[in-house]
Amino acid sequence: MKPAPRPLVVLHPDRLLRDRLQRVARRRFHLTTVDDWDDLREVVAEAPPAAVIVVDPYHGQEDSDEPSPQLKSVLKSYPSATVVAALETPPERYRDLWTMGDWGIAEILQVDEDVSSEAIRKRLLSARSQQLRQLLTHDYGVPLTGRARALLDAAVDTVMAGGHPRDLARELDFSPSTLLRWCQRSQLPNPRRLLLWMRVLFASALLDDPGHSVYTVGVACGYSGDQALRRAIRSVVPYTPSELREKGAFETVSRAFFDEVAGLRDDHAEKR
Amino acid sequence: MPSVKEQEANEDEIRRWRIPPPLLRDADSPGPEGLSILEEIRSEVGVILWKSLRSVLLWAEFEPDERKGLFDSDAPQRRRQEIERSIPAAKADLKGDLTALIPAVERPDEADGDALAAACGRIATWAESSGTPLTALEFLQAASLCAPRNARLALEIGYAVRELGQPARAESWFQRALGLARQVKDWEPYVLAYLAHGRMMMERGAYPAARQSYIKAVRRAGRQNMRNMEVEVLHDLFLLESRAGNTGRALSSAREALDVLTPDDDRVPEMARDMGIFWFQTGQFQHGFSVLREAARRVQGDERGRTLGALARAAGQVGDRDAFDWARKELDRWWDGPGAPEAWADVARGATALDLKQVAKEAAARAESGAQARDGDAGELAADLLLDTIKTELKALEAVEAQAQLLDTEQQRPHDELVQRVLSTLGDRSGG
Repeated sequence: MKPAPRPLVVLHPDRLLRDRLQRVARRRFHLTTVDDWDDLREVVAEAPPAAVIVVDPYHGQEDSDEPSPQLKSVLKSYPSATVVAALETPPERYRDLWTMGDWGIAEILQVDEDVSSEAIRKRLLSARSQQLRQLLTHDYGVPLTGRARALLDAAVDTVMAGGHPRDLARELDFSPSTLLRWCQRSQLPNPRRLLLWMRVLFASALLDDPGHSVYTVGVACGYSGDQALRRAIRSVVPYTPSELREKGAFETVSRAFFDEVAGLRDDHAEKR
Repeated sequence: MPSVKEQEANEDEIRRWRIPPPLLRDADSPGPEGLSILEEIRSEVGVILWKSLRSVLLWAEFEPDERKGLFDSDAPQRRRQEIERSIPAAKADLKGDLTALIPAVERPDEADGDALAAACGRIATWAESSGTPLTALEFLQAASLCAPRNARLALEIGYAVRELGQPARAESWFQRALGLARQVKDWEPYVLAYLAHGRMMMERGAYPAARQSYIKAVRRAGRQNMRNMEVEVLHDLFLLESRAGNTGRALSSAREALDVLTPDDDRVPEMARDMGIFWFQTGQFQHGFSVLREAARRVQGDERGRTLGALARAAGQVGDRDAFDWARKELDRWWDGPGAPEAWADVARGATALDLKQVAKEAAARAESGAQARDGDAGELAADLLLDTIKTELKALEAVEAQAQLLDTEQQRPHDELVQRVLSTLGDRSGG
């Protein structure tokens, strides 16, 4: 496993912001700058899966002071991409902020406030985990405890950063043995398997987007290629990536994951 | 000044317990951090609240030595101007509280977490009183992150999230509250967090986990001489053991609760009511009836409907027409509140046992219309379905009663003694 940098596509005239994003990107993101909405679509269509897009929502809106309908269209066209709007946020813009949230942007970068690398990094990292977290909230009739849900959220973050069980333990400020105990007590698979599931779930969410090849999905998820991804998928469900696509990849894999969690459920356990 | 040894012991204690990270957001509602504020407050005031919240959350995410340079140097001045311009003069308190958050942006490495937490707490109170619960929750969470050792705040958030119907998120805050409470030895939130956790586990049917939480709560409440809380937990423990079918343990919890309760405690009638229901459900109808009859005269408020319903059912089962009629009339006269449909369903059960077909039909119709009005769907309380179910229930009760009659004198004695004790405690209350 190696952390795969995710594409970071930037459509924003603010040079200072672009420089800041460049500094933050380093090994986490592969940054590409574009000049207009058409370029943005072209680059995102050809980019590896799970791109993070940072846009000026008012780009090209010379005659209007509302967010561009192009933004709404991008959100609709690339459901597996994470879109972050970067703008100044004076109080008068309350309608725009709410509207963009309603359209489905993942985060807002306040260019007048989020100027430090730490602030920008935080916004980008929290945005990129949202989609998988949300997909995992679907009710499969397996109620998770608060502790289990917190572990799951942390596991999503770890997988998004290309991390391993030790990174998950570090994120939670645990020792590896405490993490193992917590997984048992929360009736979840052990940390290694939990991360494997999260990675395959991430891959299956990307496989549901027909624009991505199995190879690019594998690489985006930190595998060396399609063969490694196939092996990983096979270790949790008895399907090939193509079969998963036909069945609805995320739906199939998440059902299998929650079936495994249901199998670990023990209502007689004293510690939850 | 604590000694080195004490300090080490303290640090050791802090290291020993790992605190689960709380769930700050409902994963099912993704989007920009804090945007729920703008869902509730779509105005310039909303944006300033939103920006202030995000600044504080960002501040709290970093260690003190990492905070320098976190914000733009012009940000504090800009925020001051925005507050001045956009918050109406009539909201002077809110203005003051938002201004009190500026140090997080102005001097992030020196800002005092407790002061920021206090301002966030006041904004949460303002938001709550303004009918914007999501905004209140956002600021409560921010307060808790600014004062990360405060168990009471974490507990308060757990309650607030539970109210919003997000059990997993609420549970994560209860876990955090009890972890923090244990670290700082603040035993009241510790007991309350275990109590809340126990209730969630009980609702989920995870009885062993619920029992474990209740036992921890009751032990600590006993050790710290928190009598009120001890009674509350013992009452819950009694309900848990009743549901789990552990008669011996249920009786023992009830006895312990009565040991702690004084006759004039407001909770005596409700405790008695639940014990009456327990005896009824275990086939000891006469015991159940005699306790419910006394309890029904004393339970007031929201619980009165449920109690009257239980009495009507028990009276029907033991064939006491006068008591049944009294309970039904009381319910008709006084009650139109929470639990009314279920209470009328119990009246239908009592009427069926007394073979009062028309009364049963009318009561079932009231149960159905009440449930329909409350939930938009009568569900199990649809009159026809309910009347059918009651017939099956009556047969099941006969079997339970037959089982109860097999108890020998030795097995029966603890029940008889406890019934006498409950009745005498009820009788000892001021005003009877």
